[in-house]
Amino acid sequence: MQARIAIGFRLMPGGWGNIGFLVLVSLLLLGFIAPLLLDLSPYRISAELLAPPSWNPLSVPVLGTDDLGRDMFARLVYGARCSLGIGFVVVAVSLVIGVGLGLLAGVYGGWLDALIMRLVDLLMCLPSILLAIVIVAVLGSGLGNAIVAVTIIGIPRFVRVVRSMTIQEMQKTYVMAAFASGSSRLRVLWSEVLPNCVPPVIVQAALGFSDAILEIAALGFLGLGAKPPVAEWGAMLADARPFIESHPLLVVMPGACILLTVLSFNLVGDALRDRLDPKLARL
Amino acid sequence: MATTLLGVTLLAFFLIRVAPGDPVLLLIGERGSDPEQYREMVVRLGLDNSLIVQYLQFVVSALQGDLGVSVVSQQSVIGELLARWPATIELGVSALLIACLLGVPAGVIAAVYRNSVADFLIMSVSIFGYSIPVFWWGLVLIMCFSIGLDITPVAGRIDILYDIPPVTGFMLMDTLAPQVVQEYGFSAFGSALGHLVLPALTMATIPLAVFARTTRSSMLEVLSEDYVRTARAKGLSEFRVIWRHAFRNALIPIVTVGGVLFVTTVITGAILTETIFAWPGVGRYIVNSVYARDYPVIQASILLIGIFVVLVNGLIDYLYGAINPAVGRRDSAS
Amino acid sequence: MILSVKNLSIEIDGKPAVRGLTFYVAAGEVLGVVGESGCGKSMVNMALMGLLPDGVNASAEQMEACSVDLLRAGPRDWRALRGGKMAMIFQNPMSALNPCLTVERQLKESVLQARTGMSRASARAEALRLLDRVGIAHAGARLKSYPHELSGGMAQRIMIAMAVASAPQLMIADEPTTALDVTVQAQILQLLEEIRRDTGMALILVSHDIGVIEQCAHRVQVMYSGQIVESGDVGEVIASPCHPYTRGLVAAQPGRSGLPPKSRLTTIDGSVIPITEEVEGCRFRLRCSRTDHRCEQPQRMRRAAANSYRESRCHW
Repeated sequence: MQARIAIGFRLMPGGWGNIGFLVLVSLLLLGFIAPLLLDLSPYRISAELLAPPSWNPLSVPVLGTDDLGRDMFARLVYGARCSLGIGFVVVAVSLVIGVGLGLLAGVYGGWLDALIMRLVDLLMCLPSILLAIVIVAVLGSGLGNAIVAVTIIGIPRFVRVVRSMTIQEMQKTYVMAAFASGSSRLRVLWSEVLPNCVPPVIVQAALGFSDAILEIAALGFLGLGAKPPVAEWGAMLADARPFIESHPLLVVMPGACILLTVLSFNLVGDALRDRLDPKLARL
Repeated sequence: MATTLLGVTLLAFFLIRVAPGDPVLLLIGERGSDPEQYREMVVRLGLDNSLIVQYLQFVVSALQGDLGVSVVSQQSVIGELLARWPATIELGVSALLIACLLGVPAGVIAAVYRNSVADFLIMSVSIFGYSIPVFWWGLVLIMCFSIGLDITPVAGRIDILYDIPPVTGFMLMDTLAPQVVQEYGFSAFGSALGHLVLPALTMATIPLAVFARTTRSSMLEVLSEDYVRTARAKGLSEFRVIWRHAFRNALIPIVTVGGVLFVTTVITGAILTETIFAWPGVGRYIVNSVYARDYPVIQASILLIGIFVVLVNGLIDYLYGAINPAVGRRDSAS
Repeated sequence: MILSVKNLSIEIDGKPAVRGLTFYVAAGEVLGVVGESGCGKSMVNMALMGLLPDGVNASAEQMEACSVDLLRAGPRDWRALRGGKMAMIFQNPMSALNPCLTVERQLKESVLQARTGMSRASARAEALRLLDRVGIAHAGARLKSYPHELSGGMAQRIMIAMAVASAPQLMIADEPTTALDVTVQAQILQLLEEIRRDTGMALILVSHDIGVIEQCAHRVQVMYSGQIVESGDVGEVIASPCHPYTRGLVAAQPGRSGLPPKSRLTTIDGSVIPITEEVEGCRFRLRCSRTDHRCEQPQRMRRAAANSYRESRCHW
């Protein structure tokens, strides 16, 4: 119980992580609240194509318009919504699957463990982007399939960390004691082993978020993920490529948004790791 | 290692079979599929056999170097991939060299002068580098150096003016071949080098950041070890203490990370960087094959890259033993 | 005097840890330093070798070793001193040797440090001679070993060989036998004593085991929580300790408590207060069995007897 309360208090990651945390909160607000308050549409086409940014928060295309006359600010805001939303789905699903598989492997061992770990090794050994591309190639390109691909790639990190924690915990005296006092395996897992996996899993989730966002954006950029006209940062970047010489800001802005988001998640992840999981600090 | 290889072959094999659609159509392409060719393909692929037999056939023909024919070019896939391999390796190795030569010393400096301004700067730059989307970074570099300053070319491996016969496939070497030098002097080499700079820098960014971070944490750990204190107590100069006593021990995790990075840099970096810089390597070929739904190529790429990764991992294990006497001795004894 | 230290204070992150240490070591003498873990013994050694970690600072009125003023020594002087007239061996010999380098390379490094410009071949010969000197059989084969192939005792012998490579005038042995088996302990102590007799170097022998000190040292100083609480001739101090802490230490020794065999050993109640904590009055007061109002005043070192150099930081 105490461990859980302590984690609750430590949600603010500390140090530079706090800055990352604040950036993420503001991106969340921007992505999910701003569209409700402001009249923003990522698809509405205005007459003014490729308008330069006005940098005046009161005038409407603050950041100008793209080649189809769409409001860049609106598109970036919806891009934040897209990236963070997808990131959340990806991390949530891969976390649940990964933690489940990790527990299975750690608790039951034997051939089940061997099978799961071989699969994990296989997934870890092939570079993630390649794997994502191949999965998308098999399933067909599109945002939905890209999400599936990135989710699959996100699973191994959780399996590994939960498995090693589980094996470690299962050998501890208090777990033995719980078994000895007649608790069922499931109960022991739930009440004794799982809580101890929480800190490293939180760290992995933060880092998994940044990877997922990068990969989704990369697939979007390659035209294998989000397709135009969806306002997704990677796809926007690909759309803007032809204007790299005439309107470099169109290229700079979506990429800077990706960088900012990924950087924030990494800052949070690093800070959390330093706080929650000093053992892993080296990896 | 063997199980990973097995897994890679299984993955490559089932890839086509789980893809929605008829595997025959996937393998021969939807365009030129008359019934005659279809039946021929079913027999050639042995699709009338059981899955296990099919798999064994696949492995055997792969071992013989037959990975099928590209739907797009109708050329042998393995030939197409091998022809592009040197370009990717050239780029990847250059990138990793840059990353290693800059990142490792930066990490050492950050560790030795811990909590100094230099440490703070190096670590800040490194977390940026770690988070940067490669595909965007490449475009930004193009914007700055090719468009803004106009000092580097935008795409390709060499100016189209030069006609370089591919001897090794490595442009830097081929441009130094005697007859090339005779014809163009060293300007061809200069052009090849110029074309290499931006993509290599782009690809080097992430590994550089990872090298710096790993080196720093590894060095910090080693610097607090007893034997470093012993080395200082011997009266050795700080330079010697750091490079001979601390760094060598710190190398062990760096080599491991370096190996992993080598793989991810060469492959992941290649896919995105080659696309941006129109670099005629394996990465761009794979992406284009995905666009064209050229499944034999995708299948073969997975297989070859999987083998490549396994080989690199083996090499790392070997290096690990060479650096760490405790591991090396144990292996040779057993 | 090989070493004389006056009012040495060490601060950790600005907080005083070692408080006003004054002591000396004469040529060819063995000074035993005894005290519990965490009383600042190792920190003093590090200060003497100029190896204090970042954030730990030493200051003193006087600190002179082998006629070099340590307070004014620059990095270059320190290095010359460490590889030359002073040497140090450590508690855990297994981790004190570099796991990636062979014994030969590490030993030759010490040899070449002491005599620059020596040829490789003669450096190797010297390394062999040193290994022989510290009683290692098959020296030639041992040179090729890596530290993980050595036993603890052998590793400590090699550490000693490295330390004596420069023929030091002062060796600091920081708990040299703590990590070793009891049988090996005696051998190592004997080796140190032999080398000291042969070369005439002075030795500071640090230990938390008063038995080790009694066996080897001429003089002893007892440290408690960053201060010297008692010093004097080793026999006299152990036979009739003046400070209650020393008394506790001596009584906690098996076979010395004056109690019949197999009875419980005496212990000192409580544990060492953190070295950086400020205490009013005597720092041992909280664990002492015999306190009165005078103990609330800071204690200074007092002579135990008019014509003796024995001193104690207790008013009783």
